Amino acid sequence: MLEVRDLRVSYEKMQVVHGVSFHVNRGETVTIIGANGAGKTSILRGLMGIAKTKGHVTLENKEIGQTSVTDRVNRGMILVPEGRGIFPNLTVRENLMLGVYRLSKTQRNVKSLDWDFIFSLFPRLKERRQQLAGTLSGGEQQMLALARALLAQPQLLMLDEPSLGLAPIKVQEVFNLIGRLQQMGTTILLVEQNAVAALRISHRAYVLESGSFVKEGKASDLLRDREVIQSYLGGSYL
Amino acid sequence: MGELIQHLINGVGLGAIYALIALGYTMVYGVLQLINFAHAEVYMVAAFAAFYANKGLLEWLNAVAVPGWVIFAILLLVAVGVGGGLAVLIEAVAYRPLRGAPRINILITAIGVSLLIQNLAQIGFGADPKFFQPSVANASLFTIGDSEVLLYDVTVLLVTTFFLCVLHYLVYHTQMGIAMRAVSYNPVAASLLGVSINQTISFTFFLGGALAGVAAVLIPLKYPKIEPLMGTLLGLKAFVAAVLGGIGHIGGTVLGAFMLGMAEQMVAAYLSSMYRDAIAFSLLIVVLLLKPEGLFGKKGIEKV
Repeated sequence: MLEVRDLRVSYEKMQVVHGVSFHVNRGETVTIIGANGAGKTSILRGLMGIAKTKGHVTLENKEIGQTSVTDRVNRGMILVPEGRGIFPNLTVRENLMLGVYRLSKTQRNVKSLDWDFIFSLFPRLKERRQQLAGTLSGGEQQMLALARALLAQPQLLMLDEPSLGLAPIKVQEVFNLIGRLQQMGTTILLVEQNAVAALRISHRAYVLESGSFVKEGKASDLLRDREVIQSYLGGSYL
Repeated sequence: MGELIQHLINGVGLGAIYALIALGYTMVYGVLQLINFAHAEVYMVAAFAAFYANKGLLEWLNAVAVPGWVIFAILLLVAVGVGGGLAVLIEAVAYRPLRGAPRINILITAIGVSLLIQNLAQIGFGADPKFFQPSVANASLFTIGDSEVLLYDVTVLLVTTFFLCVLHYLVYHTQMGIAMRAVSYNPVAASLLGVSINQTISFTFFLGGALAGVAAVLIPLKYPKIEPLMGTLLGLKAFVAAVLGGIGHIGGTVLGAFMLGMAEQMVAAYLSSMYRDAIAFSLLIVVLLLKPEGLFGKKGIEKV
């Protein structure tokens, strides 16, 4: 459903992603792994149109490479950005309301939409819905960001380092949740430094090194790849 | 004692006026971190729009008896429309092309727009003061002790309260208001959820301009003299009120405005009316020295 050809991303005059090509099929989970500064976040920013890009991006055979951010969101591309993009000055409920913002323009009764379902996935958020989001813990904020993204009914859900800065037990929770989303048929593009966990739940993966892909393949194969193990899985993993 | 009550009434009325204008500064600052110096001119142009609407209406009606409040309501509509519209126009023409430019550039542009409108107004409306025929008679309604409560005071307070309630509803209970507060915290994150930054900023400018329009109809009820430079001093004081309460903070700004109105009234009454303007700017200096984020503002922005 997502087809990217020769995508280049640059900030000011510095190019940081040098022509990557990849695709994500419907219902698939694809991971991009790579070290800090390899350009993972820049790819996602480029896909959403908040960084300058060259190249082709097609979503369901429509070229969207030069459209506005709003347009891409309206087509169902939802990114949970690095650092979560939570609004600490708004309540939990208001943050969630922004999740349905893109739908509220076309669908009238968003109020009854998926609230019950969302709160069944995230019971903590129901308890805290009147609190300011800034008072939530890091793990809860990540859950809020995920819940908000789900309310937007994404065609393609993009997650930028969802496990960053979380306690190990919370990391497990986040990956469990991603697993549940997969079972529901959500198409996911995941960017992670936590390569083991990411590869375990993904169908396919790409390895990014200084702005270019150096490897791609089935996630299960990459988990056994000697070079990948050496560079990203902590060497001794086997 | 009677005198004190009179001063309290006047102080509240003055505070309400400051609040209406200060909110325009504070909301725009909230989303753009810009002090919109052209805001005072939005108020001035709205006042002229109401003035000409008033004049036209009275001529057109030609001594047909129409209740004053009907005319008053029409003038409010005109001024709200012109004020809101002009604010949106200024943003689209002058500030939007500079989105992402260093803040100082936009600030200088704001001062430029302010001067431009002042001078255009002097050409268009004439530099000589005009008399705004009040649509609501300044009758005495009732007395507390021996101080009179005028229709003007009650109108100002009721109309201001009404519009503050409307504002509160829009900002805290609508999708657009939530979007506005989201943009003020993190525009990029808001855009990732489908919020159009430009639309939201336009909406913010409209709200600010509309409230300035309300003030533009209320003030001439008591001070009927209008002229192209009338916005400057009032705008500066409203700005002081916003800084006092915490610029960017809506509730704080309203409180700051009432405090400034009261302080000014009391100083004028018990010290000397010579110090009326001095008190506002002394307060500004004191606030900036002691608590630059304002009484209710937050220190910096906490990002987690």
